[in-house]
Amino acid sequence: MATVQNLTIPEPPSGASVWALARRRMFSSRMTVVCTAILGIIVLVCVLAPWIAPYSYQQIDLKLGATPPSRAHWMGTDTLGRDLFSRCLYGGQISIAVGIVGTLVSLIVGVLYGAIAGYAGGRTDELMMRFVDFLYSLPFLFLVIILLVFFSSSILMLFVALGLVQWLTMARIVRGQVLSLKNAEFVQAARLAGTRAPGLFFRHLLPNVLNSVIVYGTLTVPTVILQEAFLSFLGLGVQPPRSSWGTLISDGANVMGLFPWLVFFPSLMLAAVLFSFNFVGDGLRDALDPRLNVQ
Amino acid sequence: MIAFIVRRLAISVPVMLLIATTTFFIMRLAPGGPFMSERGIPPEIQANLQAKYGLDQPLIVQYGRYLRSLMRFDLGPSYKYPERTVNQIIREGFPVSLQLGLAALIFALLVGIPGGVISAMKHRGFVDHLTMGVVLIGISVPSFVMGPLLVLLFSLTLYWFPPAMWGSLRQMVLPTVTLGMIYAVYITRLTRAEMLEVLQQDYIRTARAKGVGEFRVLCKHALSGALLPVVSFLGPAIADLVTGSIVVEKIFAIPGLGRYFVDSAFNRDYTMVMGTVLFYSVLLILANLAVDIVYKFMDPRVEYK
Repeated sequence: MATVQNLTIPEPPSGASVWALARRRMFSSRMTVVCTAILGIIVLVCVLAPWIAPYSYQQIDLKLGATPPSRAHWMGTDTLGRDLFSRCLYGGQISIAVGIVGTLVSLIVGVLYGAIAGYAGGRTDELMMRFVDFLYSLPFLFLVIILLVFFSSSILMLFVALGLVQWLTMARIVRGQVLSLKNAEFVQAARLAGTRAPGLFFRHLLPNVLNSVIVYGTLTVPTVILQEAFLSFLGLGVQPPRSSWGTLISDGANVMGLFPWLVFFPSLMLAAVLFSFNFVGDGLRDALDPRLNVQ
Repeated sequence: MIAFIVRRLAISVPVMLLIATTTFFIMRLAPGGPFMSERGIPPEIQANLQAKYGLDQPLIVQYGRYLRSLMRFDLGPSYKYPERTVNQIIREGFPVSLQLGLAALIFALLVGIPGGVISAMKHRGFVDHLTMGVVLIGISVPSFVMGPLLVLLFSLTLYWFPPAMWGSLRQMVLPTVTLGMIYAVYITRLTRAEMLEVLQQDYIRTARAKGVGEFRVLCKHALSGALLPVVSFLGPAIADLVTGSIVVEKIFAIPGLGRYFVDSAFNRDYTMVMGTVLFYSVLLILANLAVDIVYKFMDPRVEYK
């Protein structure tokens, strides 16, 4: 033991850390920088909506009615005379919140499920992954629609339902990584030192799968936002007077022939956010691990 | 091969049972029933209606009866349209949805595969950048945005195509593009990535060295390898196509099964909802099986136990 203590550990070569390298790699692409900026601005403006929005999202002005974009109303007004710009900001709050919470739900479920399957291995793993395969083959959104219709479409239900759809891929990714890591030497060392399964998982395995979790999480947010908009479009998502980008697009599409700006601006916001999220996610993936291939 | 198909079909029986059971109990446990919505129905009539459809009996008896009729492929009467059975409604609505789905899939393949091949051939060229730009935009424009925008441009401004309904070839164009666009875009990206990889392989160089024409190298040698991931993408894509068609049917007022499903869910038309979910599940299981079989024919390395 003494010899071990006397060993001098060589200083690691000074240089960029993993994260600094990743940052440099990520921002070397101009598109990624632009998309990160766009995303940051839209999210910030939506979060700060109560202070930025010029009007309330439900302030009705029937005499005004639907007007095209003007100086007083940057994106025009809807058929009830409500300011579309303000409604887009407040709608964005909900869309983004749904996206993030739905992703968190899917991350928690997916990471735990995948980790347990991968760690247990053998027959348990086989059984658990068969179940995931089975769920993959279902028209899952149908079950979400049933859940939402039959048990009141509250926002909470929406979070849960959307999160539950998304965890499958996460579980597969984490399971694969845990499976390949659990026999690595540092894990064996920790096990020999008497670490029990939960500690082993949270302290030793989780940090190593974190990269793929972050990358896949970034790519899940736009998917969840998209599905919320999809459900809202069918009238199952966010209920009035609350609005999300999905409900705004749905309302706008109904009167599109007369007031095209009502469908144009919310669509633009939604597309911009989806586009940026996808780009940032791809950038993150390339930056964090060039070899990683997440589908 | 036959053993493989039989085994896969055998596995799907308990799967179907599980789906039937889940949907049945979700719906029976939820508050509200199919006859609650109409106000002013006297309680006696309501009781009679419940009795007519057996809704007054214990849950387990209803469940047993439901399973028994499923054995005979009988999905029962629709609660909302009493004169029609669920089987009839599916028979009417599904062909329309199937046409729409197939048209979208064919559109996606016809656009995506050539798009990906050309993009890979002109790697880093102008065409490649243009294609990848369109792909990136296509991925971020969902069908329910694409649909209204297409209608706005091609029906209400240019008057090229009708804005709604289904039947004639001209009516089919906009819904097909709306539904198929996202898959066209994904297939383009997938084909391009695979082609780029395959074109690096030794056997392509061998083929070129032997003096095989460039067109033949691309279409025969490279493409058959590059298409495998596209085929495996089709399995999940078909499931998405089914869901996506709900929205497209709504936008273009197409009388397909997707519209019926959403309406029946809102109306709490139990039998109709259960029938549609079961029907689509069977469809997806068969579609996935078909994809696996096609995969087997395309890739001789795959073996089925």
